[in-house]
Amino acid sequence: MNSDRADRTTTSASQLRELFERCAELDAIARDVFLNEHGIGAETRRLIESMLAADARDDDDGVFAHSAAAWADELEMPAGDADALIGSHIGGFRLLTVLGQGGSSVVFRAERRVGAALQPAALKLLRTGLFSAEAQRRFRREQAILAQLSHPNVAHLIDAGISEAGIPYIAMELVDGVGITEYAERHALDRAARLRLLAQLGHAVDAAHRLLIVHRDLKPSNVLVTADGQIKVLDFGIAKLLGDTEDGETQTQHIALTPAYAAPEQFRRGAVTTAIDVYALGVIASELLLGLRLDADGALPRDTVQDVSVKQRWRALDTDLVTVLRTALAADAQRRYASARHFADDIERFLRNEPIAARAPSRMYRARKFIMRHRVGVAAAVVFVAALIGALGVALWQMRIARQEARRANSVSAFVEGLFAPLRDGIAEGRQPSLTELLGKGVARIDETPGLGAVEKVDLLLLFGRVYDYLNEREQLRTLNERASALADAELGRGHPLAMEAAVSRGLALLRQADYTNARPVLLDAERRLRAAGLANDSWIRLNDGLALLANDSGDPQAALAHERVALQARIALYGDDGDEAAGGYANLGFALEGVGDFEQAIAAYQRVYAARVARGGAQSARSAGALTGLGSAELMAGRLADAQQHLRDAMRVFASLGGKPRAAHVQGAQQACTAELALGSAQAAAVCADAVDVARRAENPAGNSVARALRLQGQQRLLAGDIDAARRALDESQSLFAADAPANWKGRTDVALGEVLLRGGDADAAIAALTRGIERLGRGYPPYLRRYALAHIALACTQAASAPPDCGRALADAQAALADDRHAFNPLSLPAHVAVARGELAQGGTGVDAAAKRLRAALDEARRQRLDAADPRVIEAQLWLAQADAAAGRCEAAQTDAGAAKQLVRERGLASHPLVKEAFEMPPTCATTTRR
Amino acid sequence: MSSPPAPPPNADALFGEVYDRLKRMAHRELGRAGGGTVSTTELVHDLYLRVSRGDELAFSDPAQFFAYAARAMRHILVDRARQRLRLKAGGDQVRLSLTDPAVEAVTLGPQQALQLDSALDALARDDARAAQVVELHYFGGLTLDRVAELLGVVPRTVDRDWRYARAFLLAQME
Repeated sequence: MNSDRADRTTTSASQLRELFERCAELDAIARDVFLNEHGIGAETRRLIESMLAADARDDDDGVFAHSAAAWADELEMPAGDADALIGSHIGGFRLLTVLGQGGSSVVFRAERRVGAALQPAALKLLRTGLFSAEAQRRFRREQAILAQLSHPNVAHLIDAGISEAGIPYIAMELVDGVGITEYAERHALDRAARLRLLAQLGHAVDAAHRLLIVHRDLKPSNVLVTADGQIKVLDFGIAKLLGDTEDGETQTQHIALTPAYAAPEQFRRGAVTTAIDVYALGVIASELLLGLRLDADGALPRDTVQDVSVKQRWRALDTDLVTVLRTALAADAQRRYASARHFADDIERFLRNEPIAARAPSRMYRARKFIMRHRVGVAAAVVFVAALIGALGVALWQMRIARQEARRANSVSAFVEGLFAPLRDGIAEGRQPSLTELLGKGVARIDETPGLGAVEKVDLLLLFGRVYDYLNEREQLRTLNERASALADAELGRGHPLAMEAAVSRGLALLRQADYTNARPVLLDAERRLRAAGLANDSWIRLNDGLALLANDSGDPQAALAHERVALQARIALYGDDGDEAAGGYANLGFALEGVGDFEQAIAAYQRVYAARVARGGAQSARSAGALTGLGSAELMAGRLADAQQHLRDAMRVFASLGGKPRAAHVQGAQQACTAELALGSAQAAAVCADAVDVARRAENPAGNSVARALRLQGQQRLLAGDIDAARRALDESQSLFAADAPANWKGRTDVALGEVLLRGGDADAAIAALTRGIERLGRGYPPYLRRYALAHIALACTQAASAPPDCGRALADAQAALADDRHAFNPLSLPAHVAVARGELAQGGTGVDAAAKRLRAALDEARRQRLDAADPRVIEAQLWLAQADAAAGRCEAAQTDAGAAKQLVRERGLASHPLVKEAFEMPPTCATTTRR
Repeated sequence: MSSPPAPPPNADALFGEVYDRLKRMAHRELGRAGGGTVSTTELVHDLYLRVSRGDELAFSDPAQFFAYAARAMRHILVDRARQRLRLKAGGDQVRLSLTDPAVEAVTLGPQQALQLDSALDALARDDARAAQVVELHYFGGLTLDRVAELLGVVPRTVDRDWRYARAFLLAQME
């Protein structure tokens, strides 16, 4: 077919269709004549002919003879393939016979040798592969959780794995039994016996729910009854094991679903909760008690409404049992039994002739009301439990000591489950237990709960600490971590990995509170202990990140960089070089590299972060956009403005498309984008900077530090746009919005911007005060260019001040020295700084005049190289002052050329009264070959 | 002949319509071939879940829904065909291949499903509406009259589209 491509290009699509339709009406001979007459090429002709042949065919056994659905079905059901596997080995199991086949799996009777004995198993082989790394990780994580589920009425998981071909297998306890409905039929069970089976089933399901494992596909074929009448539930948690999406309990299910047993919310992408299993219990109960499957709210299926025998059976059913069925089958999940245990309890009450709970409306009503009223709290609690279980699951897998740890996780899970019991039972009528309250109770209970060993206690303390951290409760975080560390040191010994983890956490908690004095000895002690133990684990990584932060803050960026390198190395050794962990390490490294001024290396690090995030979640994800923001910021610092502008614009586009409340990285990135557009003097600066303010306002309500920072940039933009009053307003608002405890360096930036505005407005004394305060607040911190910017403007202000402070004496020398730092020698961000220093030098006279001219030429060269517009006020300003410098040096011709072009632009663009331009523009030409100022 | 626009039905009701039709259709044909019915149900679930998995899918009108359902069915067919081919080519550990050549002889192979898919892509490049007719009629299981109704064209046009498309696809697959 490829060969006809060239020919087809000359026969357009519409022509092909026309030819076909014309020929279809002609007989064979007339066709030939027609095709010859129209000079149709050989390839097109062949195509037309085979189309006509196909058109004439009946297609009885061809593609279109059957529906696509039937075809797809056939492809899914390879007949007899399972037999071929008999006798082969998978995961150490030998496959013996086929027990059953479904569309998505084959189940074998299998066995493996364990010591001297043969262990029998039912081995389920999935027809669907888990090909993505993420799906396989989830499979393992879920497997670790399922391994904890041990109940006499639940078939336990023996082993699970993924073959090299990516095909997952699950070995489960081999159960010799029949489906629950078949069992009841076969033994002609009476109603009481059926109810006893249902109660047994309810308790079994409840046991799994206590571990937050949801079955999702309960149906009679998954509920077997053994010869001695014991229930065995198969495939618990298997659906989730094979799910291919992220995020624990809130994930929507889409693996197994059998409509007759599926709860209504399962059809609506609802969250997977234990309530869907309760619904399935209701369906199974209706099948056992009525011989038919009721619909939601206990409605009779439409096609049975007319059936007299159904009506009779329905009427014969005890009203209490009808209530039980209706409660289990409530369409609204919140009106169902709160748990499988409540369902089982009610059945047992009925068997004992006691009033059932579902009949007591007040109780159900209360529970429902409670849940409705506290929906947010309940959701938060669910998220919390999911995070807890997830975190433990992952940690356990990493430690590879599953058996011992499963016990530990079990007791911890039971603890947390107990914590939420009042909420689940809905007895907290009239009260609103917030997450904070639950946490507080949990912490208090740690000491009282029997069965919790030191390891579990330390683990729980750290875990609750982390949750407090999410809630920004730093003091609680510190207290809990201190308790954990003290307990671990005393009970487990200082050399225990968990004790070291607790020590690191304690140090980091102090860092969180910016308590560097106390954090330092704790972190250094932890460093010694981890080093002595030779551990390069997660604690070691977190420790080095913390030490880097500490070093950065104490003005030692080189040490910070060294720590980040160590942390990155450990990350790569533990998690590989291309995952999320490594990306996090590269991001930290990039930040540290920026700190030491190695911007090119920082850019390389951020490029790796970006590549990893794109590979993981695509370019359109928030995390990728966040990485792109980091990259753009580093490029900004490196003076690669066009790259920075491009990357920051791209990042903003992604963030904007994601919608919702702006994330921190979006707020940050919008401000960097504004900085880039400002530096380049882009026409879009006004819009981009306004967007930065808007994004900050949307993210932060009421306005605070973020809006204040964005307003600082907008102030600078307004000044560049020539509106000095608007600039002043923005900066005043910025100052007023900073919280008292906002980082000094943020406030310092606003001070510096304000200082420039004051200077341009002619108030040199106030400018010096603002700039000096700004420099104090900035410290030697990041970003480095601002400090030089402030020093340069102080030097200039000192030449204009009515009452110059004593420090003015060395202001110019300080500014000159700062600007000589070749890391940012010339960069559009520092163009105004160079102009300010040049003016100081010019005012100084003597050799200063030549220095000023040289400085301005170099700065202008760089501006041109960065493609700054010649009409940018900053460029015009520099140009005009260069003319002054040349004139002062007696280079009259050069001065005239410099000034002429610039003044021409000023007139064309109407910039004569622009605050950056005005002063130089109005200076009279003072070229005198003999007189120097 | 313009009938008043149907009120926008919700996706569940629409799905019910497709569900029943596809299930009956697949069931009937498998029944004829002596196959089971379990997988028919699963097939339809698969379709439903594919339809429902999309983020906040909102179907403004039936045409959109059926187009989506048909597209989903097409994906299912192609996915399964790929899966089949992959399992066949799989390693020693798992050989989930067909062992009975007779079975393969009477059915359409996975290779043909992939051929159909790419032929349909080629058709879509040339004649988008004809390709749409194939999707709705063949993959969506709608009658040609219903397709005409959904596309808002006269039945004769859809008949012509189908005839051309069928010939084109079969010729491409040869």
